[in-house]
Amino acid sequence: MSRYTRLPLVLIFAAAHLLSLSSALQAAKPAYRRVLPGVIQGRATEGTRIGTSTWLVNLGASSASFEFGFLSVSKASAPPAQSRVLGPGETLRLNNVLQDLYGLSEGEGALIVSGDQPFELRGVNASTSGPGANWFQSSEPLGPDACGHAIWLANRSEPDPEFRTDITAVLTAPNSAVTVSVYDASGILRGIEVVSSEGPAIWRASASQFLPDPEIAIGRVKFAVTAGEATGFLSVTGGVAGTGLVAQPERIKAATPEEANLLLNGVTASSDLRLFNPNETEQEITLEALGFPGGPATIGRMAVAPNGLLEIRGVLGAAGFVFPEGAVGALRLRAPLPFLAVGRGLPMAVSSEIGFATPNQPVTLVGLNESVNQPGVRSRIALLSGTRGAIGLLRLRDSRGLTIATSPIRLESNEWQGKAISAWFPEMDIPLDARVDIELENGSAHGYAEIVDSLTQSRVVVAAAAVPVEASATPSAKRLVFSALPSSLTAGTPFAATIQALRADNSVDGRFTGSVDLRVASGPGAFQTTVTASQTAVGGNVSFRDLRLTVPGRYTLTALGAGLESAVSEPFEVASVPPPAPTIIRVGTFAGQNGYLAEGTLQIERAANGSETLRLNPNFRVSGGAGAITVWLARASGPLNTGTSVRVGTLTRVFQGEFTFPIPAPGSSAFTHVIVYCDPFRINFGAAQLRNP
Amino acid sequence: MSKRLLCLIILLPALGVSQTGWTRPQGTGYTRFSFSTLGSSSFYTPFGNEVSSARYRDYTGSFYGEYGITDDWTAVVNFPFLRNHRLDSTSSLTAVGDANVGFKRRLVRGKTPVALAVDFGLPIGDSQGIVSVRDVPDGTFRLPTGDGEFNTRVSLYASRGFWEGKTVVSGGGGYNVRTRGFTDEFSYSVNAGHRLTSRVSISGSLIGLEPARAANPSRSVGFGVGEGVAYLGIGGEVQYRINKRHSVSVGYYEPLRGKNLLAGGNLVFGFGIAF
Repeated sequence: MSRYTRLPLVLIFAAAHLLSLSSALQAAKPAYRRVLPGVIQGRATEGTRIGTSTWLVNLGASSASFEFGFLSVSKASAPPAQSRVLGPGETLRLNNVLQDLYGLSEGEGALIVSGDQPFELRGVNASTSGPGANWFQSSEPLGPDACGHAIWLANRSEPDPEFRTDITAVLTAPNSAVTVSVYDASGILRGIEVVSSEGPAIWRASASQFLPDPEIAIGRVKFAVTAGEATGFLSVTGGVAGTGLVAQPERIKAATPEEANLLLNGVTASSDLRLFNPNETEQEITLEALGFPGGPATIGRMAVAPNGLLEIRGVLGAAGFVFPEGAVGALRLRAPLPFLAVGRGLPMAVSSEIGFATPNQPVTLVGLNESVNQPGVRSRIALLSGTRGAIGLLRLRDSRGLTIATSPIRLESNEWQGKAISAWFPEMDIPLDARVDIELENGSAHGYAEIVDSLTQSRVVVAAAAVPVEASATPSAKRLVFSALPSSLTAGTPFAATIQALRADNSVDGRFTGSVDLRVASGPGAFQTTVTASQTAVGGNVSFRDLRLTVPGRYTLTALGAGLESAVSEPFEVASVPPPAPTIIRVGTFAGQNGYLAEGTLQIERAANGSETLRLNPNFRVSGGAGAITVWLARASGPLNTGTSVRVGTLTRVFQGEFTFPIPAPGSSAFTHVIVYCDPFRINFGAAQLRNP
Repeated sequence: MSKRLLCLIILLPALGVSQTGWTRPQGTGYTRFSFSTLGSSSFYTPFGNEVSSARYRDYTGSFYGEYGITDDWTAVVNFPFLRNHRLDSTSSLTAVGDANVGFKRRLVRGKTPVALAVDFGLPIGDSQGIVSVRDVPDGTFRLPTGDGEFNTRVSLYASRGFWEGKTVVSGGGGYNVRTRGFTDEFSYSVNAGHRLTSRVSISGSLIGLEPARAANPSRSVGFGVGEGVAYLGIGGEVQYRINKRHSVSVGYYEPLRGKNLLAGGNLVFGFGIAF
């Protein structure tokens, strides 16, 4: 480890430390690495504690092990890295990440998480004293020769308001070096430090100690990586509300598409905005309000000096516009040259390159909860469409990544739509740590989640993260289908179901080896408990055997796989276990009487429970053009004696074909004939003598 | 039209020139309002057996009229304007019956006149006649007052008078061309009348009906209605002339044998007006 100062403008940086990280972080570079700054665990004020909760979501198509390394700002040695294995689409929540992973009761620094699958990592710092939670999201470290600007530095010793900013640089790879430069609003360099290390390390300095003249009300920090891999962040505390803010470095984008420019979502009347013009010429940035009543409105054109930084307090009212109290919308920022924008308490500014859902780029909101209890949090999801509107769906996933429900979305051009997650998915129980994907067929949209503490009503806003689209030349599975399932079953009889993972072109993805859950989607019963509801695919196929449904009825099954469109089977019937075939105990053949036609055969059946049924066979026919004919069990073939006979049925409109009539107890044993009788005229039309079969 | 329910009702003698070889003189006419009642607890099966059955009741009010268009042409109408009937196991039904209209053409004059009659059956009665059956849930039965078909009957009659016309004898036969799949029929009748006094006359009739072919069982429109009906009936009537124009009568008619026909007798009261 080494440290040196290239330009000794900084007189005091006693708080700066470079600390080694465990050797685990120095191992071979994994495919994906993200840094979560501002992680903290400890005592905030007297009697209150502060801690960081994190949500890590495996956005990959297969299970992966994720390694958590911690770089502490203190002199304490780094704890050993910890690993957690997550299935595809699975979310891991750690309520107090430093305590849960390392058993630390005190600590502050940055998490460096790496894994072989793409993932999203978010954090929130919350104090037990109530309001003051702030969310932040991880970012990829800056590579060699890359630089990023954290444009929310506020360091002011004067009260009302008083701000303090700590500057942290994180070197995430061996032999890395980063230059930390501090500029004021006019673009004047106020301090610089070059930090390097042979291994992963963290450096931190208070602006008040680091800068010769620390009074910078509006400033920014540039993190320029000259070797290896690094990033940084600013921790801003103070202000009227005493809330914290974590400002992370952003790259200057080479060009901003005309249609998208920059977008700031979740803007309210109290939102503040900073604009940074990194160019050598002044430029005018146009601010346009979207999603507010009355449609898009240009609220201002702000001229920003070369390398200048501009802060706009209460941006919605900056040009005198009056928006309804509580209104939430977005800002679209247009400028001819690249620029950066950050809103206080808002998601990072996004362009069409980041965070925008398009038909080719789904995005996701993670770590969502909906609790009616206090303490607890409620989540709102808001969407803002681009100029071509947006058509698609929201996909609600549980913490295992399984699709629970979908909700269609259709937005007009530049339309803002926001509502509680439970309103997007009515009649659904929102699972803990849910995730909502935004998948579009047409247009574009930016989404964010607003998370509100039920107790304190403090509000944080989280932007959607891009779901990685596999770069493989061979497309991966997109959806599940049932390839084999019986169309009808008998209750309790074992059966099998086969599910295939299909690509978009309906070919089987033979490489798919993910886990698939099988559930009863609808029907009166559930699988027997001995059935394993989750199976791992082999060659793109998943077979469930020895499935049993014991409750008769009409069913559909659903197959769920992380990252895949779920499958719902065709409805199928589960029939009751058929009773034993009835026994034919007597038969007979009809003959007409009184000049009327009666022909065909009959049988009397006795069921296992002893009940009897008279069945007139399909060859039965009787004269009946005038109306009601009744069927009787009688003791003779002659004129019917209704006093000693039993009527078992009536033919009212159809007088030929198969009929069945239950025979009342005690059955047919006392009778010798079946008679078809014209009740209105009280004459026999025919009779059949009963005999043994 | 033709015979509908169980009926010797059509035996009703008009005491005009119906079923005779005579025609009515030009410009004269005869009308008759009658009320008949029929009750029976047995009927003739399609095989001709008489079996006991539920009791049947029928009450019918009819209008009969004939008018001499010329001496050789007579117009005839017979209209049962009210029928009420039921079985004691069913609800009752009230409706009009099928009507007959036609004409008669005298072919031969003299002591033994011969006339050709053509009449048309108009299906204006209730050919469904749905009634409910007691003690049979949802049970229905058909007691129609018409067979729902249009038919044409062509008949030839001859008559002869004796003893200066105090006694007359007539006979004849006809062929009934039926539609809607019903089997054609032959009919025949012989009747004789005798004037006992200047006011009192008596008459007797023998009338029969036979299908021209075996009945079509699929065309049955109701129990004992329309298809497969055959009978030979006999009846007698007493007429009292109140004055030169008005008369009253009472008669009784009963089948001697039959098929698909009620076996009961038919009592008829009539009031005639000549003009």
